[in-house]
Amino acid sequence: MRTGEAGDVEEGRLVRFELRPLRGPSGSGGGDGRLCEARFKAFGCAATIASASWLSEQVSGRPEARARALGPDEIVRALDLSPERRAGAELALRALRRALAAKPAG
Amino acid sequence: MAEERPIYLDHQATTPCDPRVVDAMLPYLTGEFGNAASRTHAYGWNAAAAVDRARGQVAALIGADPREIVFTSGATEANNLAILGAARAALRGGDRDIHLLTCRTEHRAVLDPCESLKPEGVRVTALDVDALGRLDAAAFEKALNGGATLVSLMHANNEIGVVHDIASLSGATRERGVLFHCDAAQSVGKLPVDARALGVDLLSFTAHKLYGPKGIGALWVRRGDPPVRLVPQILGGGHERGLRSGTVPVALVVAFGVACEIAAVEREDEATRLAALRDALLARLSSELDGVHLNGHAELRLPGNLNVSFEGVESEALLMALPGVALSSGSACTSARPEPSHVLRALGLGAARAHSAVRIGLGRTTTPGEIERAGSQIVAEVRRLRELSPTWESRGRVRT
Repeated sequence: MRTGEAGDVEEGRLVRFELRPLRGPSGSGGGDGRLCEARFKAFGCAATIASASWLSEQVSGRPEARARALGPDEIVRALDLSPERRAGAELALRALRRALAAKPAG
Repeated sequence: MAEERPIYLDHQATTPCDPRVVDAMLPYLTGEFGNAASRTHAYGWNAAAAVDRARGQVAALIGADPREIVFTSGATEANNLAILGAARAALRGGDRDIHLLTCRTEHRAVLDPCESLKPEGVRVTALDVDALGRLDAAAFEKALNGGATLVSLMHANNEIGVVHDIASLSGATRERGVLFHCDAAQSVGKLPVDARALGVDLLSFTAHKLYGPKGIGALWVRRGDPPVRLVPQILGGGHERGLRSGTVPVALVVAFGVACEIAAVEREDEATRLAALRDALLARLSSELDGVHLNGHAELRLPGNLNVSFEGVESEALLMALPGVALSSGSACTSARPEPSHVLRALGLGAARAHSAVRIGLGRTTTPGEIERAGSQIVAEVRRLRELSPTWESRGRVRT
């Protein structure tokens, strides 16, 4: 399992992602082809939680290359976030990227 | 079927107009449209008579003389007139060292006018409060001993509902000949407010917090010795004894008068009813959920106010998760780094608790059934959001 976290309670937002490997029909190999299930925990405004939730859906069961290519603009578009809510989307994405880059543990 | 509207529990933000108030004001939007300053015909005379009657009703609610009431557009304008007007009168009087003494939990409608005077050479001190939102009387007196021109303290706080003991603080200002302005926007109509008994010189309040319309408020300016000197901030036709020019909005003034008259009759019973409903809601939330913290003093507060932090749940997320209940929070999550309100920060609350604070404001239309339903929805959504919360997870769910 890989984990990544971004933000802190002090700033009013904290997002944590957990990526667990999935054994799928085509995806038990390594590298960007592998599949995983993403779970999240989020403390923050609705936009932050919604961004983390949307990202977990985008990542789960899909090739990891796709997860790595996700940018904040896609989240903002998909959730129709106003510009001032972008910080929540960026934070959730930062947590996901840290999880993707993390070494497996546990 | 008509869509059911959210349960309104944000009565510190504003209150609905009482239907009796609407009925009273409507004729002054139609047939009785006269200008109260028109002295040459019945339209004007009727309007002037209506304004006089309303001025009496408004004054009566705070135990004042009708000649002491200056109608304004609301409490913000009344605060501006009191603070800017008194400070500038002192400046014109040749006072070189003007010092305004206020408090960190004041509304921005007090803090901002105070701040705006700094370029005019005015010193401003904002006193701290304790963790429950109370002002320390000894610290207040100590600050007064440093010399002050005007004190501006609110009666009841708009976020945490905490009530300052104005009458006990004003003794010290009177002894020293310091003017005292009180922003009573949240307390008039909710608590017994007698302007003279509070011992202040200037008192701001507004109609829309006491079931009247938005756009009308008043500044009470004490008459008698020593005189309260104010420099008007809006100039023109010399209305309101020269302190606030501008055609008096007759319909709004009539509405304000009736709202005050109703409040005078119903306030006490209503306060008892709301405090009981409020206490029942807090008891329920605290019994069904762990990690519920009341912000601000439990007893020294407005009867209809709760400010509660639900551990592990960010306040704005909770409000968004509760479309069936109209509540507010003390922080806006619209910046890169959301800051809790200046009031919550003044209490010295930890970041987690400040970011989780929700204001629940009960009022005249609140029913026991609404409190029951709102309570159920809040409990359910707090539980759901805690399932998603990294901070609640790490804290654990075991009752300690």
